[in-house]
Amino acid sequence: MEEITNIINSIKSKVEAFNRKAFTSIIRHGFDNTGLTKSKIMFSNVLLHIQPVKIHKRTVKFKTTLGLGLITTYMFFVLAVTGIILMFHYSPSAAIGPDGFPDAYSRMLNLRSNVFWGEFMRNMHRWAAHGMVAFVALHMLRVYLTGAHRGGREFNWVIGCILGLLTVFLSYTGYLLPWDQLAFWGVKVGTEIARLAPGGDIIRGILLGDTDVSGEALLRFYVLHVAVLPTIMGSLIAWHFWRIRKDGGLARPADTTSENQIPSEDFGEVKNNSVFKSSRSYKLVELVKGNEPKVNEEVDQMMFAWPKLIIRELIVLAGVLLFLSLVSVAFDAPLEPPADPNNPTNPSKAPWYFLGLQELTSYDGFIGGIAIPGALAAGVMFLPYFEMFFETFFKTFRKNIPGIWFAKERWLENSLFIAMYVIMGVLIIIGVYFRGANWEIIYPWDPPVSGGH
Amino acid sequence: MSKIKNLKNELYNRREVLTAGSALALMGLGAAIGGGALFKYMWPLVTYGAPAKFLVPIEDLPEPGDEVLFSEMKTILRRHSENQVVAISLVCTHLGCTVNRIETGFLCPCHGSQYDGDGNVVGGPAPKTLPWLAIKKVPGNQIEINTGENVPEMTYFTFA
Repeated sequence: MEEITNIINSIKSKVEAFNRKAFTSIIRHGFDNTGLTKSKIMFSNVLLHIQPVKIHKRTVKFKTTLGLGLITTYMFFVLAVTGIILMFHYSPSAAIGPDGFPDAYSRMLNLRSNVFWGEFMRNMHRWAAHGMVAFVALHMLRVYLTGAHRGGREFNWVIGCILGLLTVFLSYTGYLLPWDQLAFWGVKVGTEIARLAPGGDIIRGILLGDTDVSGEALLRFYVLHVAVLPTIMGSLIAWHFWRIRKDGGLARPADTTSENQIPSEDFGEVKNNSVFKSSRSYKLVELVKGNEPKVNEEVDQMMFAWPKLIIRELIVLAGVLLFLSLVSVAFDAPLEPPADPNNPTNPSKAPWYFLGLQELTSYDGFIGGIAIPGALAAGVMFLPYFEMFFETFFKTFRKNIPGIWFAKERWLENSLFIAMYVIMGVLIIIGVYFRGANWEIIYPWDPPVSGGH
Repeated sequence: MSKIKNLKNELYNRREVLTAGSALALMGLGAAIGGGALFKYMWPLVTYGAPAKFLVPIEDLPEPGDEVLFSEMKTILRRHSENQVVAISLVCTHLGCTVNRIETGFLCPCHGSQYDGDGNVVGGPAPKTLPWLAIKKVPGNQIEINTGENVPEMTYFTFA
């Protein structure tokens, strides 16, 4: 009898040992409350290791970033996933099918009426695209107003601006794909604007693959939209994040001791088994700026990223997904009549984020379509370098206070930047609500017109 | 001091510079050839667009002062007088949308360009008059309108 118990026990312990080995071959850390484990969780996980083991406490405060960059990133992920799902039911062909519609357009009708959850997926993709454009703009505003584009972060601002332009170009190539009226005339007008630029005929020829907008353009924009641009975008996002890490995390003032932080107790007890009580675990992190270890009061301002930061990020993710799902259930993505190369809709309006530019081009094609947008894009992209130039050459150096909203020293820059947003916003509102048939001024309470979504 | 100088010389000696330089030059050449080839690959080959010319039999012309709209060709054909016709392109000279015919002229639905009945700009962002198209008489008592060729404004085509 005792023998059998022994055998059973030995098998039990072997099973346990095997399970333990198998588990640690997958997850190499425990989940206890020590600093070492919290560090291991972060850097032994391929998804989490992008983020530092320890972060400044103000990173998790809502006020610091408003979560805007994170939301933009999540929108990109949602777009990638829904985009790949949509590709299974799409064909980039403008050939007229048996139903009399271009193939690409029939696919939209098919998604709408036949495919299980097809309409929902299309809605999700379209609304996330609009959301991403909006949140890129808000993120840029946040970065500028907190002065986080300076202090060694100038080049990351440039990368961010390229990401913003890519977002807009991805939206533009994306709304061509349904091959409806919005798509056709959007491409028509867009490539006519390109023609006004120096060397524009070459750009136009390469983009369209034909002398005019045709099925070739649809194929080219499709390849750009699903392969070329997302690849560039993903690489630049990685670069953008990597540089944030190398710049030592989010921009913050040199001294944060007087700031009102979330008290340590709120983050729970961390068992410290290090010989350096209350010190930052240097050997676990990468090289950061400065030539001496941070042993001053700042150490008290640091906290483990696991689990508090990760949980907050997941809450934002859940919020984004919930919001996009609700919007996608409630509102259908716009779909205009199939592309008619002879007659644009009246009025023919671009999506809202282009209506400011459309309003500008309705005064002059070159000035509104090339000069002003080009100057704005270049001006904003190199804005930190203009600031740097003036500081260097005219000795107007002011103490830069990164990470502080509406720093008094930067009132002029901030006001100009806000003014730019306000002007663009006003132009967009005019374009969306105050332009009717034949682009004449109307009032929003007049009978509704098509377009402008 | 001299030691540092020597080290410097060793770092950038002639052989290193030549090797690195020629490697860079070769890579540059490769990139230029590759870029050029990609450009040629991407450059449009064939035109699938609508034909630029179309025919109208003279007996199908409207009454003097009346117009016919050729939607596919984006052209409006007006019989100016008993033996004169004029063809005006409906492609907006601003950014290429198709203009709509209204009582007083033409209006563009995209950016609000306004033209009078002869295609002259009267408002909006359009930089030029709507193109007047070349017309010629062809055998079989027909006229041929070439949407790819413009004539000066106010040149009426006399067909008889």
